[in-house]
Amino acid sequence: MKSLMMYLCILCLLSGCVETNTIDDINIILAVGLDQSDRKQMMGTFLTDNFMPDKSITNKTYTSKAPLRRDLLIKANHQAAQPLVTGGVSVTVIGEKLGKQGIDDILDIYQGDVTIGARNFFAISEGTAKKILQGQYGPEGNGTYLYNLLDSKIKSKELPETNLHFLLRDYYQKGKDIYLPRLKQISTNQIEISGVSLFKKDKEVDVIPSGKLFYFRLLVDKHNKGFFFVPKNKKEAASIKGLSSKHEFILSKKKPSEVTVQITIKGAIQEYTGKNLGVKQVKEIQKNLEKKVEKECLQLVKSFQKNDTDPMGLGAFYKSRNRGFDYEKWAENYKNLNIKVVCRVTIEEPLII
Amino acid sequence: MQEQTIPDRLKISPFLIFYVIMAMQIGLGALDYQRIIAKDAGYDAWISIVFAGTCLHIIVWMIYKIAKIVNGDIVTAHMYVAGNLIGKVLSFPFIFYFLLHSLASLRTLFEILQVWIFPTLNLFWFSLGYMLLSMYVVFGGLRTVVGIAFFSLVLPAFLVFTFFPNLLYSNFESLLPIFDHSVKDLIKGSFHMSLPFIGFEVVLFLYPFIKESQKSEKWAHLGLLATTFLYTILAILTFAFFSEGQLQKVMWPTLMMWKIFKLSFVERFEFIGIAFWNLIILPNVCISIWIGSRLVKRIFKIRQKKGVYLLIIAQLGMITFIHTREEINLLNSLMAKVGFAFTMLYIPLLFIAVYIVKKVKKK
Repeated sequence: MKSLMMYLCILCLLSGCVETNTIDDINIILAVGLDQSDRKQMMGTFLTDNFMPDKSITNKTYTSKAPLRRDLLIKANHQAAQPLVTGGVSVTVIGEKLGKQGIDDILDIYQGDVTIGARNFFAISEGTAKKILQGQYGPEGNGTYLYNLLDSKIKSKELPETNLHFLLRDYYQKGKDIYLPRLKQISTNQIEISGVSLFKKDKEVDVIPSGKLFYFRLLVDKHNKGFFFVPKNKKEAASIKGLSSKHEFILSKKKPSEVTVQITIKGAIQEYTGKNLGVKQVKEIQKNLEKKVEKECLQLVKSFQKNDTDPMGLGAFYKSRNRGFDYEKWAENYKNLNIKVVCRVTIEEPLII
Repeated sequence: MQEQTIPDRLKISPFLIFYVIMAMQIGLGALDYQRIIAKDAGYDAWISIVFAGTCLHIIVWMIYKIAKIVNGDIVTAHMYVAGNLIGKVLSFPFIFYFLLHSLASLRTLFEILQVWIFPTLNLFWFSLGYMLLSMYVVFGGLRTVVGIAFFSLVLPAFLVFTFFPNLLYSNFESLLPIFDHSVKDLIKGSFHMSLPFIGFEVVLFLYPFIKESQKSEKWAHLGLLATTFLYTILAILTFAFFSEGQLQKVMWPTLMMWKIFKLSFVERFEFIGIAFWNLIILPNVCISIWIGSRLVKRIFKIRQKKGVYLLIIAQLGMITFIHTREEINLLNSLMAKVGFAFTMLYIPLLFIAVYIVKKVKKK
């Protein structure tokens, strides 16, 4: 009994030993915007939301300038009535200028910070990130809006699969380069995804416009589905629903500097503007699609090589097929690599209405 | 030579050795071994785990041979080989071995708590609370300690399943090509597995307390096999989840893998994982303290209770002096080296010595 009392006593006394965080007394950062403000300093924008008595949500941003990211948060904290915490960050937007200068430090911090989850998104903005975060996008608050925007576009396969975990994994893997979705503010209450930025190591080198995202996805995502549209040579056009697609890298056994990207697409025709859709027409559509995919993908691959960036992870693929793989030699030869794109389309039974 | 007689009511069933071994092995080093072994052996390191696990089966076999010949624990074995006094002197360092074991387990746990949940955690008060808990368990006797070992394995067992959602985010191709590293690198990796693997040697100390002791041998081997299996699977999952360059930047891969797992009622699963890690560490500390105090009792002929107090005070005193990451690293690498020396070098030596003495005594 005596010892029980002692334990109880200690239990009560010890419970005050740690710092507590009550959810009403903290500001949870939902989105972070990072910009290069001048040569040495970074500008951070931290977005939080306030729940108003009438159940609406207002956005509040805190902006600060400092040379280090950690300092940004500390300085922004000076402005906030309640401490800012990073546990809820769901979107990080990088300013265009910073993206061109290199984001190595930022990725390093995100890798090391245990308070940040692995499922949140990274994006790059056209213009400054601050401007993106300071818009007014929807009743659910900007942070949630941005997260849902990116999440739904990934789920509907309009964007290649990405989140912080994939980003960091690819970034620290030799033989693969990263890419980030681009956000563009159309007006203060509208935003769109305008494409994907390609990086070489930690610097932005090229932009894929949203029109070519479909082909980009075929190259970087292992499995895919999605809608696409094929105009035919004459007057007819067909819309094809992609049921599934996948890509495979095939090494040529004779020539080590030759690799074939084989894309297999399974689809069904959704709509056809011509009069009758017979076997012949289906074949034609199939051929057209194959040609189109091959042409566009090859163009993309060539531009990857021109910019010396490897978002497909060919280096990592070569490594997994060769013992004693030498990355430096690989990096030198990457530009001269002979990459071929072969596309095979199978069209399931045409839909007859 | 004195024969210790332990009443049956204090003994444990042979199958419980399975839980004791697993509970003692899982704890120290289980959160970050993937990073350490991959440093040398790359993504072939899972071969190192299998190799190390296989080697340890031979050691377990030796332990049982030693224990059978001398019919007792390591102190009896020492006295059998070197006589009463020197035997006790030889056994003395093992008190520190177990003190170090519990200290390292506890400090590593606290470091995670400090980094993840409570940055301002007061080391002394928290370890005092933890120590009182383990004291309470140890005073219950070996049977209670083993019971804790049982529960610390069974209750958190569901955690294994929480790694499976990671498969969606994994790329098993990064494990290819297999055998991309030299044998030397693989053996280096095996050497670094000593920290997560040590703990099975407790059999050599608990032997007199096992009912029909020789029957427990198969359970010991099974326990070791289960740990090897668990570590290998976890390593393969980790290697598929992180890329090779990234893994070296991840402090505790096992915990970081929970970052992606999200439930509707808990945003970040690590917190639940860390809370359960407390329970996983508990038998490590309890078994260590129990064995340490048992050694004190056998060597100095004082009451075991006093030994427990002694060890706990020593631990509380030491833990407050270990602050920085480097010091914790040093503590862990020291434990790894001492553990390796004890299990892989000292036990075979003792085995040979016991065998020779047996031959001589027969004549």
